[in-house]
Amino acid sequence: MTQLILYIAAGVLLFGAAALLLWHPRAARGHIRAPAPAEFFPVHCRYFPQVRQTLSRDDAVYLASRASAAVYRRWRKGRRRAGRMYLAGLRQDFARLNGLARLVSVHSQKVKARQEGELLLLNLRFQILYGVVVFRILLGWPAAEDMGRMAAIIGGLGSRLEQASLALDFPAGAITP
Amino acid sequence: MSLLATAGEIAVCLLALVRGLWRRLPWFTAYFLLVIVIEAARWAVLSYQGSGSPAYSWTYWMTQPLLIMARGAALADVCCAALSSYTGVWQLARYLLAGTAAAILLLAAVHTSGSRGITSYVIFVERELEFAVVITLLLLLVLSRYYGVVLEPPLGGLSLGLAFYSSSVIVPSSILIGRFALPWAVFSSMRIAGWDVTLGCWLYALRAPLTAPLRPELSTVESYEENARAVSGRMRELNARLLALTRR
Repeated sequence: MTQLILYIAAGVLLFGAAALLLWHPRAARGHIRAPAPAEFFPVHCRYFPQVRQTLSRDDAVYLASRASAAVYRRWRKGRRRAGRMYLAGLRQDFARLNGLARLVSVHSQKVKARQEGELLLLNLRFQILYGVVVFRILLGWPAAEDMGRMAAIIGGLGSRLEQASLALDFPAGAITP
Repeated sequence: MSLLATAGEIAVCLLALVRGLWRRLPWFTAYFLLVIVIEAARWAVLSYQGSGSPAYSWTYWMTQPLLIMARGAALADVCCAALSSYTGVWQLARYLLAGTAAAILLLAAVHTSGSRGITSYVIFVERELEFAVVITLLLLLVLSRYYGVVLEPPLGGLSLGLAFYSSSVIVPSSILIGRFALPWAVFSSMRIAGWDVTLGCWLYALRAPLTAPLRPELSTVESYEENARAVSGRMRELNARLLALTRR
């Protein structure tokens, strides 16, 4: 009986997955849409100075001494939310880079299985790490200093990622001018 | 439903010929033609011997593996048409696709080795091989989605039809050989209904004239190695930094 249910569920799910993978929004139909260079730029890393200010220890010390407990709590909550949103932005930046890696592969005459496997693992690893960091923030990870360091690390990568995106050469048509 | 299926088969075959499908998908077109030939042969035996005769039963079940093999060739045709323009990715994908199909077929052979008679036949041919078809197709779709390759018309509709037919065979075959055995009439009706829907998908896919496939411009091998190394290096660095954060 269990086997029967499993087989039927597998049949239905496999078709559902195929239909889902075949579905594309009308706007995305076509061969491969030539992406614009801006699509690969890590945009969120650019806001590092603002994020660093928001997450800095100085602000926390200042507010703790001047604001009421209720205001301070609200501020801390807001800051934690900002941290989460910044992390989500980082994930978006990573996804852009990942998209760039796939574009490199799809427009190549030869790809290496090892290289492609590594890219896949890197992506998987990032998603897991991202989940761990978000979870820690949700659990009340000490905000000011750690978040500030995190922003510094992420922000430092921003310009280098952008340089990497710009330095790559593609065949004509792979990227729109 | 059977008449509808016959009309659908003829319409699909004619439309495929009118659209010149053989230029892009020769095996898929051959599969459509084979369906017509086999259906005609079955109809001839049915007319002279009757539906309950051993001759009709033999003809039906012996031509079924031919159709499944032809469907496998049609699937290979779709895979090739979808990805072969992207030389590098196709080199990798064809090993993955062929390896996956071979592994599933081997598993199916092991799974059905102990069974005998019609049950073995139904389990193996009607279910396990269709699993191989639909899983290989799914892998193709995953690879296409991963690399951002959109399946051009009519590949999408043809693939959807293949996936639907395989699923519509897996479900009634599983019920047929399970504890709650289906009456043959119900089993047969479910199969014909599934086939009708499949033909509908293929007719829809072939409704418009085929456009010439686009040939993407490819970069050099050296360029790939350099670029891929640069991008993966950045990704690795980003991961290392994030990992350091989690260890704090």
